[in-house]
Amino acid sequence: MKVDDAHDLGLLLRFALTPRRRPAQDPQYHQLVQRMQRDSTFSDAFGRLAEGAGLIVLSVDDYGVTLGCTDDSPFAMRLADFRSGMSAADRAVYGVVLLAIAAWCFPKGSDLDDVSASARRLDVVELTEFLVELCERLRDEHKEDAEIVEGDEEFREAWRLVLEGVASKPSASGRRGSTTLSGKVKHTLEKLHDAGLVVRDGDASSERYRSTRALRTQLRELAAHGGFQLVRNAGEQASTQAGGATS
Amino acid sequence: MSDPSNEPPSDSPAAHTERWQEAVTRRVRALLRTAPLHAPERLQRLRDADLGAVDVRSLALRVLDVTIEEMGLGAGARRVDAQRAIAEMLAAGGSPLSGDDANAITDLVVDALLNEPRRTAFAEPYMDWSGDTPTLRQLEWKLLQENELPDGRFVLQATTEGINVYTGMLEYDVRDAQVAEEAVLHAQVRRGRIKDAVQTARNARLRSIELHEQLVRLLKIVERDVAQLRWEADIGQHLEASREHLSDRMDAERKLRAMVSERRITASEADAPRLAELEDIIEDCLGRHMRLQGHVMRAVPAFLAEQERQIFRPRALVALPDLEADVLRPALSLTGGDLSDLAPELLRAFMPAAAPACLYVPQLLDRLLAPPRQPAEEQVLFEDEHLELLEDVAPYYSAEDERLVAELLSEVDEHGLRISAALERIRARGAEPRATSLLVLKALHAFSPESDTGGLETLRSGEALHDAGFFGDELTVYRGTA
Repeated sequence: MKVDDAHDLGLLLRFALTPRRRPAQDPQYHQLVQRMQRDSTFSDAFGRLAEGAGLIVLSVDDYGVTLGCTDDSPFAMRLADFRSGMSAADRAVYGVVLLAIAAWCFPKGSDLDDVSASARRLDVVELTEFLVELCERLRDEHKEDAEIVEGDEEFREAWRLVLEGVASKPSASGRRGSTTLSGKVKHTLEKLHDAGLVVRDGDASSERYRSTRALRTQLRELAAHGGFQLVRNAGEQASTQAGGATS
Repeated sequence: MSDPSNEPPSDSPAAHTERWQEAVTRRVRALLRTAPLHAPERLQRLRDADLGAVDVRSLALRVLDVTIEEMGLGAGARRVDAQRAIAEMLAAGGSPLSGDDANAITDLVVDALLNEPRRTAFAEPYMDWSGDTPTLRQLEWKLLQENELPDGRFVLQATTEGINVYTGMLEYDVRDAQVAEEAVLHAQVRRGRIKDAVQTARNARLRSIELHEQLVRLLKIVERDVAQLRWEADIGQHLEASREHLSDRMDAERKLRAMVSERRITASEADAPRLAELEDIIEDCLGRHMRLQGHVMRAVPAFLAEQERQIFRPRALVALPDLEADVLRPALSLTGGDLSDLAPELLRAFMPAAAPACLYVPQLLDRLLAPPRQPAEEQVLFEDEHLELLEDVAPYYSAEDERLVAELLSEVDEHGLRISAALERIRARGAEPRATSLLVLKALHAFSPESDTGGLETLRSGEALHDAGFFGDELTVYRGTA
């Protein structure tokens, strides 16, 4: 390693942290990606640099370098960056919307592992309907628990909060407001678009998107297992608490 | 090499007597793979589109046709290529549908071939008779895929099954089909059936595209995960067979090319252009097979290098969860409070790393000094409000300030005046600090090319301003000649 390599490592980090930047459109980025693939010392050094900065190298290929975040990473998106002034119910519904987008694109684990998997089409209306349908099915399964609906939103199940969002009316201008479920779906897709995980079909008003390879990488390498663990742990904890309360 | 027209391919289904159990199973699988071509008409959205006399099956086959053709030329077909082909097809059929309608129909047909509404591969149950006992199995396949290229474009690509459905060679190994087609082609050229030979050559070209796709897919798996492949059983055998097959194909294609060239000398007027096309197609196949052989030759060292590289990569010990069944559905049953607590961690897991936003002063200045944006097209109607007149408020800048600044700016000529010199000059004339700030504001106002500044213009000099009251860039104000 030479002193100049530090410059190249920094440059590669900068490229990797810039959403939607492509080696195919930037010769310098292309050269650095090729070097990552050929030069193991350089590749190891980049891995160590990323690790120190709270980053995880998820993939390096012709599509660029994809970086994920460690638990305490300063490069992780914060809630306030995603949407400011959210209530607890908003945070829960946005969490569900993120999971619904992932499940819509790759319902099965094998879909994530399929190298030839097609890009997935995402549509605000279809995604909203998909989520509502799932929640309605859960509502039908829990008909006998209808009286719980009147409780604090913190104790109501996420599917009830989602269905309440469906009932919210759109804004007077006809635009999708942040209070509606479809508004939240649109906002989340726009955030994924900004991060390079989906691309919008058409102009800013379009409600159709397509998943990119980066989304599959992010889900396969980090979010699928991470989301699964988080949800499972929360479910187990809730069961333990419920068991303790009834005993 | 023996004449391929005289002997059937050794491994082809016709070469040995097939038991009825295998034949039925093979044919039922072939039949099932065409199901999506019949299904589009059953799709609700296509029914709603009121297509009248349009045959959706033809449109679906045409989309496959365009896609395979574009795969032969490059990476695949763009949606716009499919839209153009469908529009032409509808126009040729005398359809009154508009261009927008044609695009919408193309999207519906493409989505149907992608199985987009269901978001998975096509799947159908069938009875497999080929084993000791009949077994119910599930057949899964894809016809079309929409893939992202490294430069960010999205293209449609036909799968091996898609190419087979289109060429009517389902359940045949691509190599067998290629040998069979070559034999037919050889016989047709020899017997002077040039028109038929052109059609067979077109099919042979599709076959070579299919083989290319199959091998490229294998090489992608090598890149993605070497652990999925076993050297002896998968890669080694496959690559060796491909290498031999390509070598045979190139021999046969060279012979065919020579035969066609020879025929061109004595060809009739009707056959001459067909023979030229035939020669082009054979040349195209030969070129593709030569490039493919290069890929195959490089695949062995690539496999070994990947094996070495990936051996150090940590692997997840458990299978990937089903995101719908194992993650989304359980999450919907969590309470709002529990899920809300998970939101920061979910966001961290789902969103890629990005540099945190921070305030960058030079960029902020650039934006503040940039020309005004075009107003939004949307018109907003304001209601007239009842306003009350407040008592007169004295303007911040006095008439004297205005006069001093106007006087100084009137002295500016086309040679320009630096803002530092202008500040010194106005202070020397006894101006208050208010007047100096007005002078600076006027200079900044003249920075915008769209401002009405009476011919004054401002440019950055590239140096820093040294002044007791202001800091920033040294500006030069001058009077434009226009």
